[in-house]
Amino acid sequence: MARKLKPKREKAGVIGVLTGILLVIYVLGLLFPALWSLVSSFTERFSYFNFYNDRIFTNGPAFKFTTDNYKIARECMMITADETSITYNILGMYIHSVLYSVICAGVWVLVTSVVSYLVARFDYKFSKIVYNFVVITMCIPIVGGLASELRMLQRLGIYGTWFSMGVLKFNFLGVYFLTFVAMFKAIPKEYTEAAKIDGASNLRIMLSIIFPQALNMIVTVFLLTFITYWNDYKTAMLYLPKYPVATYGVFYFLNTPMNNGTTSEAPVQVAGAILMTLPILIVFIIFNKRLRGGVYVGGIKG
Amino acid sequence: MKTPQPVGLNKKHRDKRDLIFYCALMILPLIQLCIFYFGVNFQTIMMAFQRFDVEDGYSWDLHSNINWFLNDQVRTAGFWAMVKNSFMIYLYTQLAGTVLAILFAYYIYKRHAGSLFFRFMLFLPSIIPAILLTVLYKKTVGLGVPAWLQYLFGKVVEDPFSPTADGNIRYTLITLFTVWTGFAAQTLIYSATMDRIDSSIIEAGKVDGASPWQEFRHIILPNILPAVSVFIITGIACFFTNDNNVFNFMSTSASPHDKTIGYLLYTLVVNGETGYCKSAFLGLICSIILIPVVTVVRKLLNREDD
Repeated sequence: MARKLKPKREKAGVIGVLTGILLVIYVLGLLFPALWSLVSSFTERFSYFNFYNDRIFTNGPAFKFTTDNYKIARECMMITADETSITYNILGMYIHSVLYSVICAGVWVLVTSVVSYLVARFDYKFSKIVYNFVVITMCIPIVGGLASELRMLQRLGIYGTWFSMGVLKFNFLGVYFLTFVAMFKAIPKEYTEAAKIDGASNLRIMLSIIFPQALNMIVTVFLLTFITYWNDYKTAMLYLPKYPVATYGVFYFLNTPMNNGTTSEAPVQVAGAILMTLPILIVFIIFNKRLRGGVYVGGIKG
Repeated sequence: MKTPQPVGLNKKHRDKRDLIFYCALMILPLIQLCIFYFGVNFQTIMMAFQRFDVEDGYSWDLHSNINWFLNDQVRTAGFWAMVKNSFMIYLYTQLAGTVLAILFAYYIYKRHAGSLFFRFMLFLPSIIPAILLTVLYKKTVGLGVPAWLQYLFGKVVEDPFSPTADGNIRYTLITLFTVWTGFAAQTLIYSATMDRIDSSIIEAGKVDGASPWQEFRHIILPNILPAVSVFIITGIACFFTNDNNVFNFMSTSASPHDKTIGYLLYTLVVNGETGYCKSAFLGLICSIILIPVVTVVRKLLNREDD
């Protein structure tokens, strides 16, 4: 197995220094809007409003600290689902987001890890066919399936339900399949052979011997996928119109004036957007080391 | 010495048990695949030659989507603006994004000053929801920057994201945002791939007197090429599906200046069942264009890898 390289810090040459400068610019480009918006969200909205609309600094930059924007956002962020006429507040949308992300990420990671285990550890011809098929689906783009997928769910009579999301994600397509296969192949076959000699069943070998060794990677991929689903409101908006998720709440809040137009004001909108995405930022702070742990991608050769 | 045999089972029984276990776990995902991959794609082809009517539902119509595509899309300037936008955004993200991602990854891999901090910061765009980043960017660039420009230079600058603003500036800003937030994940994957290069190869290069450029050109680059080719191939595959944040910025009211083919495909579906068949037809056309392109590029890249 290749030795992992942990190079010592080297003196940066000209290209290194230039790259460092570019990185600083990139990071400033990230931090500036974040800090600016954070300050805006705590700015008394009338001073902010005047500041921007009249383009004035005539009375000095108008910053008056307040938490009112967050209160207004919390009270106004409500969505009434069209079909059921049920109104959801922020807490309701958080719950939908958690359910949506756990179902989608959980089912997909479970199925992908099981199928990749089978493909990696059982030397059948069919395993090779499955592997090559996944590679081909990654390389051959089939566009326009969204409408058809929605119609298929409608035909099956499960459209708009949590169950439908579980069914949709009960697949193993995607780049992490290849990552999982590589990982399971790297675990020595002697473990399986020894367990078989001791009389262990296939299920026991998978659950008690191989999966625990792959648990770190499985959990990391689950977290990354969980975050992806949490952030994706466009799919949830189409597949689960009855259950608005938190990020859809931000989109709705941005595009629908409420409370006599108060919610169209920038400080309130920024406060609302921050409130809605707070849980995922907390998840990141808790798991950031694990998430940055390094999932790598090899080539895709069929 | 005899090899120990599993308790109570001969090889034939073991093979049979393996096969039963394999089939039992594989069957449900395969059924799902048949319905939601083969079934859905087959239905997409069918829907491309159907139309939807609120009263009659779906019915066969070979001409309506073809006419819609040729007359309402291809013959309009807006459609070609969308194609151009899709192409330009792909070019920017591939060229600027890939070059920057490799440079940044190499910087982090070499553990130059602040690399840990940069690694943390580069991870943020993958974690923070795109809609939140959009809000922050829209408010800062759309409101904050014009206010400061007026304060410092007395120049009145319109909010570039307002519907009356110059469409070219707005699209450039959205493109910048897409590139700016798009390549961070790529950087981290390249950096992780570099970390897996056998250190003895690097050491051997150093012993032979390889310069940092030679090390980068002859050791690092060939090793990360498979990962780069993954991004190039998946990038082409997403050429027509990626709406490039236009929906986040403009909701359903984007002007022809802002739209991409991915945006059109998505909004056709968002607008309800009347757009489903059109979306399927447009998707079919896009697939017919993309499949040979991806196949050729993949073959070329695989040859490079070999």
